[in-house]
Amino acid sequence: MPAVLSTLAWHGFVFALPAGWEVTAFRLDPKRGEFRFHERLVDRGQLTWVRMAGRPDLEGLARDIIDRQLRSAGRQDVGAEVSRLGPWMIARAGRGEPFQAMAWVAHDQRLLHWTFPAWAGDNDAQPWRALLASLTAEPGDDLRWELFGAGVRLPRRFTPVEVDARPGVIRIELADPAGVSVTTRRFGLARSLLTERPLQAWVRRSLFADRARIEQIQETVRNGAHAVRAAFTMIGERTFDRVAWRRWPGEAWWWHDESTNRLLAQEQVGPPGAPRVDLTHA
Amino acid sequence: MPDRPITPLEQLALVPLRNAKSRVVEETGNRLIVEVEVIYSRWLGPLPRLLGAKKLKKLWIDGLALEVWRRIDDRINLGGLIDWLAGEHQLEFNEARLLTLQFLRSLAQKGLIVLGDRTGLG
Repeated sequence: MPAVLSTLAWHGFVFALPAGWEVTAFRLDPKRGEFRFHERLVDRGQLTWVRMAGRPDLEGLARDIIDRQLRSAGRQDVGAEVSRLGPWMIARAGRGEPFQAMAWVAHDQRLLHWTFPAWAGDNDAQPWRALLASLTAEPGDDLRWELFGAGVRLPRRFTPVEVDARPGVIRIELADPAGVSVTTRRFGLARSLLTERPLQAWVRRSLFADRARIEQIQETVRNGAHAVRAAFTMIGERTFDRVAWRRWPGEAWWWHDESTNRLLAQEQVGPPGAPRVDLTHA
Repeated sequence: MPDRPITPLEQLALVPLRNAKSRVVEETGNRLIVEVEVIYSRWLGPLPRLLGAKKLKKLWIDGLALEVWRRIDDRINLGGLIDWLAGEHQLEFNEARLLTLQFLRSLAQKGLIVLGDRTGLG
């Protein structure tokens, strides 16, 4: 299979992952979270983020981590070599030893910390160099969220609520303080799914499973791909809305990305009157 | 097989083997009906036989499960099957690995395959 670059975008930081690297585990606490990465079955690294009150001493922190690693491995002659690569502080001990890379995202008060399993030199062929160089940290009003191939660009007020990642089926839900919830989905095996039933039938099934009532549904085109757009309503999430059976309006966009053999979807639902996101370009 | 838990790397070398007693009773382009023996729990003792319970059951295989079933030829190992699924359907390796294991588990529960270790058999 031709391994393709994939994007990881979370809390405003964006990385282009080296070809073949996959996220295999995650902890999505907004203050202290992490992703683990594998290429096939080989451990490639771990990315941790920590919200902090102020900028830490990156060099001291990196040296301290390396020293503790070496001491816990029973080594007496501890001491890390430290170098810089753009915004990254890189600390290493020796060939074959784990090494660290740290960067401070000032506008977000967030420390990004990569741990890679083994130092194998500092030449341009090392995938970690391109990975670290690909970092962009978005200070703007809109943030890109992308994980496991499901992505959406949203105003900064949206925060993640739930990530449901199963093989071939990804669902990421984000919400804002007004109660508007945006869900992005990604399904693998699109050709097999569409052989079984047409795209519109999958949209209907999904909305039915979410207890939504379809008000309008139409075949359309999105970015040149066959798409289905639906307007729906569902019982509101808030207590009063549930008691009063007040329905919230929503919309859903599903489309078939033939080049990646994926079905992609974006949906939003929220209380009447709450400001919405323009999903046509999200 | 080793006594310790099998590692993911060793898992890739396992070969799915078709149940030799399974029999294809109908095959079309997108559907297969296979007949296998029904295995009753031991604690039921002679009850199934005395009650005349059915000895064979028919299973339908279609969709992706059928594609996987057709690739199982008692030679291809799990790693080969995963690489084929990942390439054919543009999936990431670990996504394809989990899907393949899910399919094989479902086929094994139905009595259609077992996972065998052919290491050293050539």
